[in-house]
Amino acid sequence: MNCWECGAPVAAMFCEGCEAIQPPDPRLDHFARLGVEHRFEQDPDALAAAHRTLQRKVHPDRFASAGDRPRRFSMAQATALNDAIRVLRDPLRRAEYMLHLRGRDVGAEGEGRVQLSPAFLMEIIELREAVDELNGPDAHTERGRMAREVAARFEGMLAELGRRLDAGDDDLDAMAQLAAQLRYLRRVIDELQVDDGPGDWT
Amino acid sequence: MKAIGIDLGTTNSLVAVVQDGVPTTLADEAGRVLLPSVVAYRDGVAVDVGHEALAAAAANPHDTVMSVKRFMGRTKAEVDAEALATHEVKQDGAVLRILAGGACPTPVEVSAEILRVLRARAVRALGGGVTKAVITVPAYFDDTQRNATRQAGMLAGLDVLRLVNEPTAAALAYGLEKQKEGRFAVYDLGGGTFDISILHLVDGVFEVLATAGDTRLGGDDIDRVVAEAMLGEAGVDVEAADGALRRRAVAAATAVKIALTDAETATYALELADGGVFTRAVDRAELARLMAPVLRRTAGPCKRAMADAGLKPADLDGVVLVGGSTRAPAVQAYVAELFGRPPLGDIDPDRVVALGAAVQADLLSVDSELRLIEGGDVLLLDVIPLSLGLETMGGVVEKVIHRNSQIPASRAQQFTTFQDGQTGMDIHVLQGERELVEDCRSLARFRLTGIPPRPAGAARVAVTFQVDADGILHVKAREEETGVEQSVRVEPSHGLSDAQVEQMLQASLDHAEEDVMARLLRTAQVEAERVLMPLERALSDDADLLSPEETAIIREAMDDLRVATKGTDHRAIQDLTEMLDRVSAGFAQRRMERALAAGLRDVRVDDLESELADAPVGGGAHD
Repeated sequence: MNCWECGAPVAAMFCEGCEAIQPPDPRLDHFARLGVEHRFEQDPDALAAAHRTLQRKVHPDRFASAGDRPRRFSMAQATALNDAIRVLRDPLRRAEYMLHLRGRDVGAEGEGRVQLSPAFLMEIIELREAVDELNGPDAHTERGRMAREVAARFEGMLAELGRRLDAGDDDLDAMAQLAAQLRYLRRVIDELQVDDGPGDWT
Repeated sequence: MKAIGIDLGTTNSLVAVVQDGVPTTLADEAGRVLLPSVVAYRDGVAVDVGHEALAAAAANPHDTVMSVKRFMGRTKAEVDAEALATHEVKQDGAVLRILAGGACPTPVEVSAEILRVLRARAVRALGGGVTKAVITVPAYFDDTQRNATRQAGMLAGLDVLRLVNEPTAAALAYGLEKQKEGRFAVYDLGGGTFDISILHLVDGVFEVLATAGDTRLGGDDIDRVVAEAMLGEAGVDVEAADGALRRRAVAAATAVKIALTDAETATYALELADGGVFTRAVDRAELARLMAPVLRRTAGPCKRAMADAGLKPADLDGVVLVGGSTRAPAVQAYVAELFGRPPLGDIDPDRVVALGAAVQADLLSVDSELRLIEGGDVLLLDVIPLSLGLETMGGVVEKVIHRNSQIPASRAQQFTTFQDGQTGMDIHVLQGERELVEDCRSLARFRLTGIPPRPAGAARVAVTFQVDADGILHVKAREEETGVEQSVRVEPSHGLSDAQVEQMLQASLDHAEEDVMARLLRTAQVEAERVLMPLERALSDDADLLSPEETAIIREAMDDLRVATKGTDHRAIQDLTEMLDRVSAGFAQRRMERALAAGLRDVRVDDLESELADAPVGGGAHD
């Protein structure tokens, strides 16, 4: 690519020659855009810090009085950074994104759709039934206990998926299956968590 | 050229600016920083804004607009019952109008009156050239409410650089002053809105992690529940109480609430409709009990925001209080209980929002002062407060950009046709957290046409939402095979369009001089009447105090003034009023002496004194 302003070749957010802000490089994936290692295991604070440092340079507020073009590019750069951190900050989304980069779309509809294993579906149906049957004075505590159980299961499976991704596992089908199950479990956890007044922050 | 920061509050408004690297609130000529967000109308025009309008509000409830923020960007059906109980409104097509003093201004116009006064204050302090401003809004304001606020700014002749969320502005001012880092919850209980924001301040970046709130919950609600409890005790049917009595009851509640900030007990005093006075001692514990239901309503948004930020109370480094209502000890106690820690109390909750607005205004200016200061060059990373989505089959909303997404943001969603040969697709843009279309706010509708006829599900349309750093949404729909596309910059689907505001602005500029003249004339006429009427009465009561010559001089001055008031020259009226005042001064003096000397109880000395006090001292009319 060449700088839109001075024509010099550029490989960064800003032209080395004239310091003009450049449009976001479409070839960069989210990891490269934030300048972090291409792996599942990430330090959340370091991710956030990378995002902050880059936003300080390109955010539209820094270009409030610049020309039309730099303003547009700053907006595009800031949007791309926000998209990158949104995906990478959340471990499940990060895992799905890594699968996506390897050609597997967990959320795909139609042909590429990941079929949940019958055993997993059976288990979820039983769990749902158990939740529906909850009533009486202990229902609320019971719900909380189940939510914690499912959450623990979620964390365990997510850690496994992460390990396999970072170990370069080639079994994309198995990893996509794990990711799809994790998606499902997250929904179950959300459903189990009920709004129960002040003081309860779980 | 300085950019100013404005806190356009439900109860009070302020203006601040960064001077010599320090954000400072600006005071009026009397040294007052707070401008009551109250506008008085008479004979169809706005005559007073602020303290004077507030002082007259109890006596002239039908001429006064208060808490206009509660009406911003709303339709009549959406305005809460309390606001409706004190104001008469009418829905004029898409536009809501408030009826007051012979005028029917829109909430945008009322807000513009307040903004004009603040702008004038800044012009006086900074010496002209004030056109750029950052205005704060509750974090939970939706697009329509934000647009209305922006339009009010335009109407007041301001170039609105940015709307900043109030709690974010507060954190900006607080963090900058204390040079603190960490994660903070900002609990903002203003007059009419409640906001909670969770922020992370680090490395000169103020990152909003999550925000939640309730645009219909505030200190006004506390005053209202206290007022209703007291009216009940006074034996008044709350439902049947008229506007004036309600206002007095609420004003008395406000007074008690404020008094109890420092005192342990205070007296609630209310003048009833029959002229009697109801009094009642209220202590802090009782106030706390009365306001508890209102405070409990803040817990839900707090929990939601903390969950969205992925934090527990123990993860916080502090809770910052914003908004005048948080001065109440009961509010502080509640927040301490809710977050399991005492809130930080070392900032002025009234001023901090305006100060933060001034900081952001400075940072967005070409000649920013703060950028040059160590630790002053900060960046604000904000989020959208409410989810944005599209209507899909069955009236269900599909969220495209979720609440608390960092902005600027852009997301695309794929849709397919659902009928064979379908060549058009309706795009309905919505805002809100609910699942069904009817429970969300409709922001825009448009139709993508020119889709090639294909079997159902074969044609693909990508709808892209883009929210820029100002929080403004652009939506684009594009059919992928042919590349046919349609886009809109989202305007609120009701309320005023920007074009309408431009028109009003132009009209107000065109008529600016006429309007000022009309206002000066009316004020002068009123002043003249205030001198003429009592003097006429005095002449018949105490004619013997004057020689025929003296009477003739006063009479002549009165006649001249009467003739002038029929005309349109406000200067002439002012001059003649002053003349009359001068020629009748001796007469007033003699009447006063007679009253005092006679010691007669029935020669109402008070009346005489007030007549003297009423007589204009200087030119009379003022703007």
